[in-house]
Amino acid sequence: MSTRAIDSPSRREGLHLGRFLSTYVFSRDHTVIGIQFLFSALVWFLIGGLFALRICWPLALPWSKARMLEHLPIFAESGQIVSESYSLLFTMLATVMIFLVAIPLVTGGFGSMLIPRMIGAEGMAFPMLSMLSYWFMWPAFIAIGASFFVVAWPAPGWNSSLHLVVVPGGQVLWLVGLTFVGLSSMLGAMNHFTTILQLRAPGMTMFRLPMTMWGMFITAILQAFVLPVLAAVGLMQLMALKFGASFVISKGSGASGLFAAIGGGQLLLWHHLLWFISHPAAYLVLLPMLGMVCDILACFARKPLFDYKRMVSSIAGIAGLGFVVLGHHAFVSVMGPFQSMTFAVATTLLALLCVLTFFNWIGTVWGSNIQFTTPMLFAISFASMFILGGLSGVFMATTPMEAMILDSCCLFASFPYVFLATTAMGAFAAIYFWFPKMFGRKMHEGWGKVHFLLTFVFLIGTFFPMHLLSQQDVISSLGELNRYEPFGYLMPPRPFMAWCAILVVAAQCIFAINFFYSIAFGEPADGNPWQATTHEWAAPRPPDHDGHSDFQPIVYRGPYECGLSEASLDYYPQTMPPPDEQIPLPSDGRAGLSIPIGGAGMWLFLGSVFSFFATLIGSTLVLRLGPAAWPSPHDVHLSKPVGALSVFVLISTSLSIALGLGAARAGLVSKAKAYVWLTLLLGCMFLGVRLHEYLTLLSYGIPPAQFHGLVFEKADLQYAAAVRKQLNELKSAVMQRGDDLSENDQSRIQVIDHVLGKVDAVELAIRNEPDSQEGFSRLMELAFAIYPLHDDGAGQQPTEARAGAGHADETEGFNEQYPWLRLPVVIPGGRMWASAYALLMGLHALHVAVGLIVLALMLFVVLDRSRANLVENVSLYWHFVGLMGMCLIPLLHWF
Amino acid sequence: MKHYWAFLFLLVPILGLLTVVLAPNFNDGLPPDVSENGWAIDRWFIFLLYVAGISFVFMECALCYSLWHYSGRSSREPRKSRHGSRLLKAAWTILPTFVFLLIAVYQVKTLADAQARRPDVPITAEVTGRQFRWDVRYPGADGLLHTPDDMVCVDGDIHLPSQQKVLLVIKSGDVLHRFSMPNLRILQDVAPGTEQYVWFMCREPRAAVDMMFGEPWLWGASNRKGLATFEPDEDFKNWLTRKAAEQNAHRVPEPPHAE
Repeated sequence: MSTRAIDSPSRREGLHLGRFLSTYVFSRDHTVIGIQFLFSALVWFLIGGLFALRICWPLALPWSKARMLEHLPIFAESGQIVSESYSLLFTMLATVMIFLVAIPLVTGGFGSMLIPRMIGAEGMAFPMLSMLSYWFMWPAFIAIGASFFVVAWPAPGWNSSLHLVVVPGGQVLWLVGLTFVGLSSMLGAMNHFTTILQLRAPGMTMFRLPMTMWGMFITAILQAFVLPVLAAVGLMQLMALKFGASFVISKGSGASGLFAAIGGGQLLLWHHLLWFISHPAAYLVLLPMLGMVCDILACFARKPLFDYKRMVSSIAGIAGLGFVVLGHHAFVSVMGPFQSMTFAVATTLLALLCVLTFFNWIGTVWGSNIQFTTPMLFAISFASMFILGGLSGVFMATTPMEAMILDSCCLFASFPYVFLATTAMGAFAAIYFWFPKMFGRKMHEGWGKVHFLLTFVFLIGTFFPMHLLSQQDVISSLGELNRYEPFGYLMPPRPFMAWCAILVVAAQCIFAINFFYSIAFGEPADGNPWQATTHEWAAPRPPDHDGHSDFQPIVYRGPYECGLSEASLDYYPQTMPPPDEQIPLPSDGRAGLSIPIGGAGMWLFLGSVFSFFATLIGSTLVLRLGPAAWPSPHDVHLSKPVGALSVFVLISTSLSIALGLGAARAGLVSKAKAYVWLTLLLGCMFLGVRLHEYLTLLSYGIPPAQFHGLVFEKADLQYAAAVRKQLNELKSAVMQRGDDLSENDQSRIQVIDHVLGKVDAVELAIRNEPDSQEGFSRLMELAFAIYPLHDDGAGQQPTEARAGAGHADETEGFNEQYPWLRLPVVIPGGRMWASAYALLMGLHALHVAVGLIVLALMLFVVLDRSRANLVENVSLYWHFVGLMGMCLIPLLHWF
Repeated sequence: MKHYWAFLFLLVPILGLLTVVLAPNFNDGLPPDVSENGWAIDRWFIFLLYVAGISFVFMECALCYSLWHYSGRSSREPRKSRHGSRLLKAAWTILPTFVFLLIAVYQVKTLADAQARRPDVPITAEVTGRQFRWDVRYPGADGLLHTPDDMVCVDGDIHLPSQQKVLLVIKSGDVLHRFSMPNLRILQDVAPGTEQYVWFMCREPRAAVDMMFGEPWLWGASNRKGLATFEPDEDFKNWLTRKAAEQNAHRVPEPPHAE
């Protein structure tokens, strides 16, 4: 009976469906995941291309009608593009091309497909994370896709200036989308880093890695430190939009009244963080491409890559300098000449590394035997265009000059030329080159060359004239250039550029047809159709969906052993042993570090979390030390002993988990479990203390505005009106109980009337003397009577207000005496403080809660020696959470 | 056929050469300079254009030569050395490093000369960016801003004295704004809650130059374009007096205080 049940058709269908889903949809095979990323990116590339065309139209023909698009409301009104649509399209073009095409294609697509094969691993270090990294892209696809259809698109422009938001819906979706892109990339980064570091084949030392792997490895580190900053600033913006927090909102700023009530943040803080992220983010795409182009150039030059180690250091240098050149985007904000010089020097060093990289490419093709295959043509065009970006960087680095070319065609020519056009050429080179590895067939060479020729020529036609136009300060992205009469003469080249851009997109049809045709009918490719030397060409094909094979590679040589005069063969694959030489292999076979695989990933993960918290703590410090007021801990009812207790508990948990690790390593299972129990209990105690503190703040109305916050920044008429409103509501609630009021109700009415009398007096004083100090003093007295401050936030004791309040007990206000009142309170800088507290302590508590869940799960595991690595990873996480707590709690409780 | 690909890539340096050669003559180069210090910035631009242009053409030609010379050889023909000449590597590292760092350090002098020291002159006007206009506030007879005799213009245009130092305070009333006068080589961002100072001198006795406000990717940015009119000091003062009279004629009398 049971056999019949197993063989039933429905059961078989279930098995087939399950296998199909696990093999092709929720696959953990790196090749399938790579192809999933590739196809998703290509679909978004098509959408982004349409946006690009729509943007070209008004640049070429301002206010002309695009009749084909007449019926698409999001693109046009009556076929014309209007300023609003133009700005939004510009934003979405950049979003789609960078976050949904370039990053997923390069790191997700090529990274997933190539890394295990190029280093000789069976698969990724964490196959589950690989799968999740793809499927976390889907919420991003949906959120960013949905943002097209909400009332207000992401309106703040490409630099996401929050103060331009009028209706927050589209911006919230956009931020949610970016958060998921960041999450996906972080999972991918951990996986790539650990795989390259730990799963290399025997003999594959770090300096035998192909340049593509170096590009991926350095990019993974870059991702781990850049994307958490993106997540942190995204959270700050979400907090501002949804919860009234104010990290990046200056007081009184904003295009609408949306942020009128909040303030205390700094708009420039946002812009500096934006550029801290954005400059290295461009390298997330560029660096792997540099590596791929090196591999392709060396392969078709039939010659070793010139000066391999200097190429590695150049890529690492470009990545490192990417973190310190943010200032060159802000030369015209608030920066003195000598600050500018610091950033200018860093930027010129970056340009220098680009130039040196190009010299090495020339060294590679010099004296070589070049084969002009399609991938080689695309790779050469990458090199040719790349140097243009490197040299235009010198203009960007020169402060007096950059102020002149900001927003001009020169900048517009530089960035998209280098970032989008060059990256596209590199991506095409990589697709043509590794297509046989992905699908077992080659793409058609003839059509590939036609595709290259058209793309290359029309890209030059699109971008090169911009360098001529840059001689005037032309606003490149403005759709209404014709409204600036002095620049009218610059219009004629624009239709030419626009048509070239349209033809670039049209040329991609050839690629699309060639791509899909070749998957089914392309020329079958043997294992190594390009006679390449790198390891992936020795790996078996077609890919094994389980990620396992019998192929056990050993690497004997570097990645570019070809074309040597003394060689009998034209090329030597990395897996080919030398005839009379034995290479000593590591004792454990694999070439990774002697730490657990999970440990390597955990260290990078902790680096990411550190970057995340460092952004939040750094931003808080900037605001704390800035000119805006900041309340003392006492005035926001934070208790130093409670803070000290929290820190003590955290230190105790670190000690207990460390003892647990020692016990697990010693094989003392029950003792290890007891320490885990202790850590769990102490962790719960810590969370309990945090919860109590938050409830205390809640009772005083100090959380952010949308969390029932009652904080006002200053005592003004709005504040008095808010107090009056609350008192009237309380009074009407009491009066609704009828004529038969209890003693308690009557006493409440008396209190309300007493405070209302004070409000009346204040308002009368202000009406009589609108500009006098008297009115302001009365307001301060009212605020002080409700909520006495010990420090006004600017370091001055509000003694006059204290005296004028006439309160019996100077340490207690009405709110504390009569908790049911819950009147609005005045705390200068209180809103900013409440935002910082909620975000920092909330996120820390979240990390603690995650740790507690993991600890609880560990209780179900036998913690013997074989699980010591698990305990070690958890304890690393826990120590880190403790360390963050030890920074955060003193920052808020004592500082 | 193989050599033809090298010629295709030669298109890039040829276009680069044309850009370098033609650019300074392309419609008189940069926007006409009417400022005191603009020549220093223009000189930098031309210098960088030639340095970058010559480097670009040289490197692209080297690439094209390699492509042309080393294509289509026998696969058995031995390739040249793997690691190249140390002298050559040292030269192409040290020379660009020296040139680039020299540019990075020396350029600060131009900036410092032009922008580091605020001139000791009274503030000519306060310019406040708002969506979607710029308010210009001139001090009245007392020479102080934000006093009852101030004169405020909200039509987006600005009048300034020529042939003398002009000091402007730039503020923002709502969002991040960008204040730009290309003909005076002035560009300054200002965030809400901050104030920036810009100073310049128009050396022409009379000039009317475009003001390009705001960040171009923002919607409605072009609505904020304006005109800066420079005129001799006497004409400027007459204009101020006339505008102040117009403003006072429309001033609403202050209501009596409530008793």
